[in-house]
Amino acid sequence: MSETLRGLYLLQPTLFIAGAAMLLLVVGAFSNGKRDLRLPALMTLLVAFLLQILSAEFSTPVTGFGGLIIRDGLSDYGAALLLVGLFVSLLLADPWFRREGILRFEWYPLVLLSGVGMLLLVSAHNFMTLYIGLELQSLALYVLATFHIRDLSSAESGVKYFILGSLASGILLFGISLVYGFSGTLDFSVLAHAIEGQEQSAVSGLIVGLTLVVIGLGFKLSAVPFHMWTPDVYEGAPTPVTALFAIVPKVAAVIILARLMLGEGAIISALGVDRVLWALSFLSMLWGALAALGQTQIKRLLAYSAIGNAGYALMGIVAGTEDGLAAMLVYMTIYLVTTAGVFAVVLSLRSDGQAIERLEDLKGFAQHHPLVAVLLGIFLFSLAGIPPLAGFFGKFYVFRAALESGEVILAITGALTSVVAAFYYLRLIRLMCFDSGSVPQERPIPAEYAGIMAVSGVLVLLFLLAPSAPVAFAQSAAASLFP
Amino acid sequence: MFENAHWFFPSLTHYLVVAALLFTLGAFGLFVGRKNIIVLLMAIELILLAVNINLVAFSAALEDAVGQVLVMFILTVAAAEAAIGLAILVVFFRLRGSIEVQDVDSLKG
Amino acid sequence: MAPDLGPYLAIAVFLVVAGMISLLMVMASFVLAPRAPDPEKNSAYECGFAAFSDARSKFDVRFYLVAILFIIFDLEVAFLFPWAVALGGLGVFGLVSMLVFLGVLTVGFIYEWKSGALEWE
Repeated sequence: MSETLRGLYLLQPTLFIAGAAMLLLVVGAFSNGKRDLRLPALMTLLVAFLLQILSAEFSTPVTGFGGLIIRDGLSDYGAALLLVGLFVSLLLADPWFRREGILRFEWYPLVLLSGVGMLLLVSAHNFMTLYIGLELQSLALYVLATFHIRDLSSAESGVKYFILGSLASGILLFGISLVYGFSGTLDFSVLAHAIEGQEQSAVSGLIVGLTLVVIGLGFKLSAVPFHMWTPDVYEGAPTPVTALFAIVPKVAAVIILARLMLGEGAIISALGVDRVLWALSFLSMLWGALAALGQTQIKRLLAYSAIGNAGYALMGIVAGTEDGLAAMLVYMTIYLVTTAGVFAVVLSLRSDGQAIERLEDLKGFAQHHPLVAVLLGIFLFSLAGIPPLAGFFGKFYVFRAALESGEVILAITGALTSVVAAFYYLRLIRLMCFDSGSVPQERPIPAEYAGIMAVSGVLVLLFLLAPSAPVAFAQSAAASLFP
Repeated sequence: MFENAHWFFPSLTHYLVVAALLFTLGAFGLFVGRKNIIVLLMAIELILLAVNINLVAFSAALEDAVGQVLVMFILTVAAAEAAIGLAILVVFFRLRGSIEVQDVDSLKG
Repeated sequence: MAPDLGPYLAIAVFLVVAGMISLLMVMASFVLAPRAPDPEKNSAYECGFAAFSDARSKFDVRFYLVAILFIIFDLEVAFLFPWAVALGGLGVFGLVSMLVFLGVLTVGFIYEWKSGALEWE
C-alpha cells in the first residue's frame, strides 16, 4: 500500500492535470461550451508546474508503482519543459481560434490530456508506461489535428496523422512484444541487467525488438525516414495545433529515447541500436535542410525545420555521454523558446481577415512591421544557429558532445546542414526586407503574441550573457542517468 | 491415448510465426491495399492483434502474467484508437464525400 | 511430450453431441414443416427493410456514432472481468481503483450525454 501511495505522490502533477482535465470536460459540457475555460486550464498547468518543482527529487532517482514510473532529474527537467510548452501553446492558440471562430471548449481538456500522456512518457520506466503515455498523447493529438471539423485539410491531416501514427504504435508494440519475449521483462532496469549473460539467439531477438521500438519512437519524433506525415499534418492542422505539435511532443519523445538508451541503457546502445539512432539523426539533419529549400508554405517550411531539429537533438543521444544528454536538453529548451517565438509571429500574420500561410505573402513585411520583422529575423537566425544567438549555443554544445565521443561524421553533417538551413532562413529574411508587397498583419497584435514574442526574443538574444545557468540545470538533470 | 499428438500442439514458435504473418499482412495492407480507409483501419487492427498473440504466447512460455496485463491495455487502447479513427473518418467523409485513399490528396507531400 | 488432453475430452464430446442435435433439428424442420410459398413472405415486413438485398449498402452515419460509443463502453468489461475474479485478493485497494476507473468512464459518459451524442436526431 505504501508503494502505491509513493507512486501517487510521485505522479501528483500528472494526476492533478488528469483530474482537472476531466473536471473541465464536465464543466464545459454542462455549460454548453459557454464558460471560458482558458484561465482554469492555464492555472492547472501552473499548479502542476509548481507541484512538479516542489516535489522534484534531484538527488537520487525514485521509482514508484513497483518500477512502473520513475522520478529523477531527467523526468523533472522534461516535465518542467513540457508544462511550459503546453502553457505557451494554450496562450498562442486562443486569439487565433477566436478570430477564426472555431474555438470549442474541448480544446482545453484535449491539450491537458495530451499533456498527461507526455508527462507519463517522460517518467516512464517500463514499456507498459511508455506505451500508455505515448498513446494517451497520440490519441489526443489525432483529435487536435482534426480540430477544425469544417475544414477539409484539417480533416485530411487528421486522417494521415492517425493512420501513420497508429502504424508507428503498432511497430513500437511489436518491438515491445519481442523485447518482452526475449528478456522476460518490461522494466527498463531489469532489461538492462537481463541483457548481460544472454545467449546469442536471444540477443539478436532483443536487437530486432529494440530497433522496432526506436523506429516507433522515431515516427513520433518525425525523424527521417519516418517523417512522411509531418509536412502534411503541419500544413493541414489549424496553426495553433501545428504550434503545439512543433513545440511540445518532441521533448517527450527525445527524453524517453534518452532514458532508454543512456545510463543503464548504455548496454542497449552497445547492442548496436545506437547505430539506428545515428542513421535517424544523420538523415533527419540532411533531409530536413535539403527539403526545406523548395517549400512555399510557411507551415511546411517549419515542419522541415522541426525534422532537422529532431536530427540535431538525436545527435546528443547518439553521443551517449552525460555531456551529450545535457547538450540535448539545452538544445530542446532553446528550440522550444525559439519555436514559440516563431509561431507567435506566424499566428499574428493576417491580411484581409485571413490567416496567411504562403511564404511570398511575407514580401515587404519589414517595411510595414519593422519590429516584428526584426524579431522574426532573430528567431530564424537563432534556428539557423548563427552566433551570438541562443540557437548557436544549442548546436555548439551538441556538436561538441558528438565530437568528444568520436561521432565526427555526424558533427560535420550537422555543421554542413546548418549552413544549408541558414541559407533558407536568409532567403526568408531577404523576402521580408528587400521585396515589396502587401501588409500581412493585423493591428494591434494580440497581447499574448506580443508578450511571447518579447519574452522569446529577450531569451534568445541574451542567452549568451548567462549560458551557464540553463546548462547547469541540464547538467544536473543529465547526471541523474549517470550516477 | 494422445501420446502421438505432438503435432497437434503448437509450440511458442508456431504462435510467433502466426503473429509475424499477421503483422506482415497488416503492414502489407497499409502500404499496398490502398483502396479504402476502412481497410487501413482493419490493417492497423490486424497489427495490434498480431502483437497481442505475440505477447500472450510469450507470457505463457515465460509463465509471467505481465505480458497478459499489457494485452489488456492494448485491447482497450486499440478500442479507443478505433473509435477515434472512425470519428476522424466520419469528419473526413462529411467534407470530402468519399473515403477512398486516393481522395486523401489535398495536401501534397 | 504430449500435454494431457483429458480435460478437453468433455469439450470434444459436447461438440459432437451439439452438432448432432442441431443437425437433427434442421433435418426435422426440413422434413416435417408444411410448405406454402407465397410472394408476400419475401416482401418487406413492418419495419420496412427488404428481406433480401445487397448487404453492401450505405449506412446512416449515425450508426457509426453508436458503434463508436459502444466500442468504448464495451471494452471496460475487459478490465471488469479479471477484477471481479481477483477482487477477493485485492481488498479495498482494488475496490477504490475500480471506482476511480468507473469514475473516469462516467465523466466520458456525462460529456457524451450533455453534448447530445446519445440523441438520434
